[in-house]
Amino acid sequence: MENKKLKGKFLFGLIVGAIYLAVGTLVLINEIIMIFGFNDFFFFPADIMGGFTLIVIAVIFLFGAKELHAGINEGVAYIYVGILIAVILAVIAIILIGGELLNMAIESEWTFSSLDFTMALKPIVLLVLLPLFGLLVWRDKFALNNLAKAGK
Amino acid sequence: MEKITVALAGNPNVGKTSVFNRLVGSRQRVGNWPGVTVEKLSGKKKYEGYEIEFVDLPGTYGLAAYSKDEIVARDYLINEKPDVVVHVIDATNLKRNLYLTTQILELGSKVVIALNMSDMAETRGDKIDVSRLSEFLGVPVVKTVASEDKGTQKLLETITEVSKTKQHIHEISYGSRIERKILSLEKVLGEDAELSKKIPLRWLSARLLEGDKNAIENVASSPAWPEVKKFLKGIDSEKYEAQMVDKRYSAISLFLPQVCTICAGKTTVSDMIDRVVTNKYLGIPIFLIIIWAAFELTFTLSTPFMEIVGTFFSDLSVFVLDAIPGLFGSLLGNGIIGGLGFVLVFVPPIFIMFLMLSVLEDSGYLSRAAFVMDRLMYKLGLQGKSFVPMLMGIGCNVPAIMATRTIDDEKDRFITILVTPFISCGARLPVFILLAGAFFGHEAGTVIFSLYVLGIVVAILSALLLRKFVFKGEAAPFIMELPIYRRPTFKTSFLHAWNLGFTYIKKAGPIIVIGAIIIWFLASFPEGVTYGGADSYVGVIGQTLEPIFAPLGFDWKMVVALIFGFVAKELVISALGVLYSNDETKGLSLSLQEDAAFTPLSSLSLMVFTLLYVPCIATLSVIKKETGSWKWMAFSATYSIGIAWIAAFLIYQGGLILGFS
Repeated sequence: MENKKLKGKFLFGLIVGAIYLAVGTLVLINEIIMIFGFNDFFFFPADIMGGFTLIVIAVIFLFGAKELHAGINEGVAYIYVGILIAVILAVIAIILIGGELLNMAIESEWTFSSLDFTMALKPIVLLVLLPLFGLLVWRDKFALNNLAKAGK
Repeated sequence: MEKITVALAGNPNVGKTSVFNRLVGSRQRVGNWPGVTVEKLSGKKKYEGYEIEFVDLPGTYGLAAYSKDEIVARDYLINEKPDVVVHVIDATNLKRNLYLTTQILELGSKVVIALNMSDMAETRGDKIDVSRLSEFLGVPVVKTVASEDKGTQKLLETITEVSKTKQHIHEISYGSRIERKILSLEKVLGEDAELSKKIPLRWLSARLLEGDKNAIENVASSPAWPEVKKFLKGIDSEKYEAQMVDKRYSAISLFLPQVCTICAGKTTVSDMIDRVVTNKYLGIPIFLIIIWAAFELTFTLSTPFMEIVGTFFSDLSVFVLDAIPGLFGSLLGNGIIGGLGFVLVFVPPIFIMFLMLSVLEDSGYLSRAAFVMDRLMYKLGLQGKSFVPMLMGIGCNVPAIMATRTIDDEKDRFITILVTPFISCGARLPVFILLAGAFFGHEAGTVIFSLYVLGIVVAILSALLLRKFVFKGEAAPFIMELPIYRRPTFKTSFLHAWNLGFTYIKKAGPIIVIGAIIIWFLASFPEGVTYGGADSYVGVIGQTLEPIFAPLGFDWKMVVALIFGFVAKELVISALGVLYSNDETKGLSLSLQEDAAFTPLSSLSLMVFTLLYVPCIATLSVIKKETGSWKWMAFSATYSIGIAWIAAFLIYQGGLILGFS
């Protein structure tokens, strides 16, 4: 890979993809072993769809890294879209946490221990720091102003 | 006042309806989805002494139309002969759009080109020389941005000017060999004076040479037909068609570089996103996580609003029962207010779900979902186009079944009609939200999402069975244009969701009130029985049918709810509300949790049954209407009940064997 910028994106895709894959797999395994009545791993929440989501994001980044490694420059699309999807899903996860807190406030069930539920959403929110870094570095590629408004 | 008829023609999803709305001032539905307009729409406008009638035609890629909606457009242009044709072109995709232009110009219509979405073309760096384009085509070209009402006045001015000009037929040179054939055919057709008055003969000759079925039908009754038939027998139409298509594109390629100096070539944001979301391996998983996220948001965000609406109706019901004693108070408090409240409490999630779907549709993502599913469905021998009505079924099955009219192949259409009811509609969502919320806690969103996926899987497998055993044959290939991505705006998405949500309330409201009264009557009589008790009419009905459903984990109360759900799915909730309304201060969810018959496993089994059995009477009647047969309607009802029973049985009994409760 001659181009330094592409090399940076390749490494970014590879590292972020590997981290998302590792965490996603643990979250998924955790859910599976819990279904069969065993205790979950310490620290990682059990969440089948959460784990699946992390793995899909990981595969997007790894696809990009694979294409860039093979000299296909268009592979950067996977890195950018991976960042976009990871950030959007993290924002959704934060909104969901807000929604849960609102529910608890309405039902007057607010306690600090009830915050445990956020464990299920934590990995996708915590891991988003990496894609966020990418978003900041390559922010000019995410100018949504380039898209026209819906309604033609 | 002089009258002018103006047809709006163009490829699908170029913004014809948006231009129409701007010109006429109407609010027809627009969408980032090819095929929103399936029938022609018309509207009038008075402008500087003219009464202009605008006709918005369904999108078509060429005048050799294949599907029903394309034929509507083509027939209108040929037979109705509008005074002016406004050809709406997507400025970001000139080459493909101009193909239709070459055909319309050959038809001899007075044409105005509306270069729509020109702002997007400029944003991505395209430089289109409008005057040069106009010069090459020999017709006026007006830049428009319909979404922002730009260029509308100029378009109106141009239309009235062009209507005063003389008609002029534009010709494309097809090369000497084809031209000789066209001339020969023209000569033969010229013997029919009537025909030459109706259709430009050069255009008709070119279509005949291409083997256009509609053109052949037009000539079949002409005295010139025997000669034409003899002529056509001696040529290979397919070869000529290919050569003529090639010539049209060559003509476009010749002048396009002079009109658009920097046209495309650059990778756009749309291209980048599509590279990922339509990827062979990633497309479906990405579709699944997007839909899952939409359901999670729907469930979590709607809960506080449901709490507020639920508390309001519960308090109102208690107040009425206290204030009005006797049978009338019971009818009003338990029956009408209770029944209505149990269903209206689910308006917030339905509205939020429609909002999510609107955002996904307006952004252009739903077209990609249909595209990625097409690949899978085609491998299974099914028509990918079927997935478009199936996706629409998430809102309501009735319009989804009607939308199958866009499917050209009759067998494919019947298969789609019969499997679309398996797609979970808005009316089933309240049942899932109630039961999943009560028995699956934080996993509720995932459970609801899984039910929607199950609906799609059952629909696809059923289609496969029908293709293999009933409607044998091969699926027709499906060509779908992917619209560019757009930024969904709050206004358009909200209005879209509001229209869908309002339609739901309008449709469900009367059914709920009448259903609630009937349920109340059956739960209150014979006189002296406990309201909704085992001795009431509903109790007797439920207990009679209970043995059939016992292997699925259902008690008589659940059976009663399912019977009412046959009329409309909203009544499942109403019925459960009536049967569990012993303590008005308790929510329905809590009452269900306290009933020993309701366990997570039996509630899952009930949700699966509700998902798969007959959606409602309205859907059955539209199946009868669209298939034109009672037989298929009866088949749909019986088949879906059978599948629902088997699926619920497997889940309940399988769950028990695995040790779940």
